[in-house]
Amino acid sequence: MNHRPEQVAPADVFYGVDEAKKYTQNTRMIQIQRTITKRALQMLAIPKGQHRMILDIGCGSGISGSVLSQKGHMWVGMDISHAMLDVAAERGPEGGVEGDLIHSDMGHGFGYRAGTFDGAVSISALQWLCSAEKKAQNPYKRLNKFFSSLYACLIKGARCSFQFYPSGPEQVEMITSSAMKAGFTGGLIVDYPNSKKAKKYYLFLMAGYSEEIMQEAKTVIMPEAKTGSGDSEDESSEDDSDDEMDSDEEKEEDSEESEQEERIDVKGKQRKDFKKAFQKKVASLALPTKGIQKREKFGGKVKDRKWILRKKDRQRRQGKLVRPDTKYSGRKRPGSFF
Amino acid sequence: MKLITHNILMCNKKGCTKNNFPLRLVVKQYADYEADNAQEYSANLMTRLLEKLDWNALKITVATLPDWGIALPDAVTPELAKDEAFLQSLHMLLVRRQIIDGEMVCPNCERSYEIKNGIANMLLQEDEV
Ligand SMILES: C[S@@+](CC[C@H](N)C(=O)[O-])C[C@H]1O[C@@H](n2cnc3c(N)ncnc32)[C@H](O)[C@@H]1O
Ligand SMILES: [Zn+2]
Repeated sequence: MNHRPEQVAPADVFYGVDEAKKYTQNTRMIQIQRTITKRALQMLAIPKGQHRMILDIGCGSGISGSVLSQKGHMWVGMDISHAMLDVAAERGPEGGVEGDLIHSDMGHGFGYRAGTFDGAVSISALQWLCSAEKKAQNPYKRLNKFFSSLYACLIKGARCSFQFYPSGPEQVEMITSSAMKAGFTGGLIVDYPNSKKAKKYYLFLMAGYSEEIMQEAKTVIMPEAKTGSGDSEDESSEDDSDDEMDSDEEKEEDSEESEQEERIDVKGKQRKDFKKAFQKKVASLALPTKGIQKREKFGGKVKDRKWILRKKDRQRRQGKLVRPDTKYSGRKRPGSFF
Repeated sequence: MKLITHNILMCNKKGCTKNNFPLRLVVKQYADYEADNAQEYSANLMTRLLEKLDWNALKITVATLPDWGIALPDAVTPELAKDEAFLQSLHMLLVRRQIIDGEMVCPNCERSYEIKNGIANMLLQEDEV
């Protein structure tokens, strides 16, 4: 309990075959990863129906990625643990893992072309950067390398949401100052600040300022603004049908999961900014925390529809069950155009 | 690994900053995902990917894979970018087609990055960072 995994062994060792197995068997763990990913994705404030190119840092077994896939986003995931990536590959597109998997160490930086990603998420991985994997490694250098190559591969104004488990305020400071140095603005979002168990930290970052993305985000956060005195009930149900695109593989947990989400809504979030420079920027920005309250308001109505859609999707998917070795079709020419 | 991912990857080896893209793609095994399984076609996503795409790099790469029998147009005109059939074909090529086994070689430093079981191994050694 007292040992933080990153102090016990390097990530690629800690996330070995046994640990990776947990990510296929431990339903509670899977559920938590999903819930966190949904929250992280919410912070990216992507308008509904829009599909983006997203980087998943520490994508592991692909649970987080499957949430991105269900929302129709394209993603590239990177992870240092081969065992975890193998689990993700095993899941494959049938298991909702439709993105691409790259074996690499985020502390080494990465060479994705400039402007590749529209946003980035990272679920429970960032704290690993604060401890040296090997003796020769310098965590500060690794952090700087990570944030600078991240900044370079994002579009201007791209949003990132990284949920992580800081060991203390020093680590938060260590991470955020490195992010600032790379040019990011943002803040720390703390969910359930008063619950020891449910408390979650998200590093919310923006890669520069883009008017377009800010406007876009506003339509997500404050739908009323979009239609003036429009019917917000309508928008809410639309919002939820989008949410329902994400009926998942772990169907049994669905009801529990949505309840959990509701609980998030009810309890509300509390934002905690850090550093003055960050603080100012964050204060002037519409943060996605508001969107959640909106959903809460119409929660009851939505649920039935949610449930039906989930059930439908479940049945549809079950009828389509394919064996892993047949996930590929016969080779054919890509479309008729070329 | 998809061709769209190949199209964004540069060599990240220490000191290799020029002429490190596109990586030379060697395909030993590839396959196409069933439409049911693959990332669903979305016109807005394809348009977005098209904006990010280095068309020339894609063209060069596809030209090295003659058995695929694909002839890409020289450039993507604004009309083409709106053409549904074109975007659908692009979806097939960039999203549904998977490189399962192969490698990517840096045109500058010749560093080879393996692709196994669809996973691209871009992991550097400590002395390569
Ligand atoms: C809690 S797991 C994340 C699980 C993942 N979101 C999923 O859906 O399965 C944290 C992941 O971070 C990865 N990680 C730790 N240090 C890393 C590094 N330096 N570079 C890349 N990934 C790293 C681990 O290998 C592990 O898979
Ligand atoms: Zn190179």
